[in-house]
Amino acid sequence: MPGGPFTIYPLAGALLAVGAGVGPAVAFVTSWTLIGLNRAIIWEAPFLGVDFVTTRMLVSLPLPIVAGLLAHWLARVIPGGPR
Amino acid sequence: MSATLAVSLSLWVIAAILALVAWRQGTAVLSEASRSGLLDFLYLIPRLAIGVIGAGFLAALLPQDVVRSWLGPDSGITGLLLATLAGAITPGGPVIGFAIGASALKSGAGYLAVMTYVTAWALFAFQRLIVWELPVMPTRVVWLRVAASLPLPILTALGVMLLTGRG
Repeated sequence: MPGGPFTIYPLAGALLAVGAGVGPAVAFVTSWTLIGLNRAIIWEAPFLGVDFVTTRMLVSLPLPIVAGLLAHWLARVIPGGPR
Repeated sequence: MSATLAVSLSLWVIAAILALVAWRQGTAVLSEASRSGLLDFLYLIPRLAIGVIGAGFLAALLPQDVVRSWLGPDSGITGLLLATLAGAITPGGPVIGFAIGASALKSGAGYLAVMTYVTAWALFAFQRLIVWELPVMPTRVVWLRVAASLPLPILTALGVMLLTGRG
């Protein structure tokens, strides 16, 4: 998903507004922050090297799911809002 | 052939294929796409230059023994937690975050600490949270996201350790 913070967060907000759960919304945002290709190619690779970026991305692949599941669970445990 | 070269080459090949697809849709599409790409490129050059050159100065100025003892390969879990905190409070956009990461690496910080720092910065950068995320997302969801992401920088370090065998 291309674009910066100015597209991702409003999109996630819109998904939540039309009924997406907290878990999927968090997984979506986390996936963009950790494995978004745009930022990795333009910014991260020139500074830290391709080897660093590919290693970090490979390791990060499962993390959006972890964050999504955790957020989903937290949303159930902590009262006071939508799931 | 090194992995770096392979990735760079495949990015160029992808760009060439995309250009070919644009050209097949008409020369107007190709010229419009090249124009906007070139403008973006020119827009990014000064920012990248500031970041890269600034990172060079920063690397030269950071006290190496301090960086090495706090964030070096032997700093252990304390170093990783410190890197997480540093990532969260780093202000500014990707230029700043990655430039600091690169400088820290050059001045003796461990590979794992920098991985942790970059991940924490991507997840928690406080300024991005306030400026971009809180205005358009329900506050509750933002804090749930932050809470759910707390273990991720350390998980990244663990994953990198398992994958590359670096300590």
